[in-house]
Amino acid sequence: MDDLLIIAGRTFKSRLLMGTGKFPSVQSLRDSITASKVEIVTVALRRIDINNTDDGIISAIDRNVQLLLPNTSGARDAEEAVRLAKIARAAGCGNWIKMEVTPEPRYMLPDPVETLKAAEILVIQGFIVLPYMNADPILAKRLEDAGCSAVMPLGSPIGSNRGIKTIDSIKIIIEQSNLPVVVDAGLGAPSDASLAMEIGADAVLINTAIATSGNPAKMAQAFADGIRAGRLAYLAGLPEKTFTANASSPVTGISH
Amino acid sequence: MRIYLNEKEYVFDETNLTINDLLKKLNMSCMGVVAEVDGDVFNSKNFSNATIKDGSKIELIRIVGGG
Repeated sequence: MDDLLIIAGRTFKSRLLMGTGKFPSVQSLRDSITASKVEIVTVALRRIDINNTDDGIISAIDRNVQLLLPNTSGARDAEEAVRLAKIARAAGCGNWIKMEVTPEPRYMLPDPVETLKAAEILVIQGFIVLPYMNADPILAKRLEDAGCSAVMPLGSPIGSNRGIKTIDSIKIIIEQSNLPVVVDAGLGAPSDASLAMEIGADAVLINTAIATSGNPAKMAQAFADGIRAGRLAYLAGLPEKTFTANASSPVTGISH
Repeated sequence: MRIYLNEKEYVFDETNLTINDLLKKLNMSCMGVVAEVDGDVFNSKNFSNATIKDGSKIELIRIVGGG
């Protein structure tokens, strides 16, 4: 039986969500989507450069295969996040929204109060809300109660490639959440993604680590493989860790 | 009339324009564009109904790569 990711009733074979920023070219984004078989891609909304209006990344996305998940990046409070979500919907992105509210630029950590406030508004307005959030188990429950469709706790700051620094809190979120848990932000290597899956995350979101690597398409495939390995390990059930040795070979019949 | 497009000032001789007219004047396609006129959001199907008046604040927005 297929092991499917289900978010808001929609099923996905891939547990990799991929961001589309920072790729060196549209072709390398297209190649990375193909190599990783990703089914959810995030996009952002920005002012048009009136002197350069080519259609950019959209041509790399096959909307029959990939779900477009617009984000509210740039929003500094709930009001701005709600505005961007409405603009995304008007842009034809549908009603899924990766909701992020990051008021300070150095660490770009999400504002929990404004995140919850925006989530409550957007759910009422019919959006399928996937909030980027601090790895805070209580906030995860509050966002679940607000009607969000997944929670997206951060591993470390956006684009930092530092891996999962919040692992203990993410484990609690996974234990307690009734929603899919998507580890977002800061994952720098396929081993980070694999670890997220080993501890029971439902999916991960990667952008910078793929897009800024030496070969994005190869790295996208590496992440997809890492995610598959970690998921299989989680389903198989990892054995217990012990401080002392436990012989793998028989301890009797040893010929000295 | 004087308008503010993506925070830049533009002056036109006309007194009445729609977003459709504005895009034509700027030689821009409406593909993938969303307009916000004084806080109201319009998709490209409604650009001919999106009227601009003197002093209007307009944002033209599109999808770009992002995480």
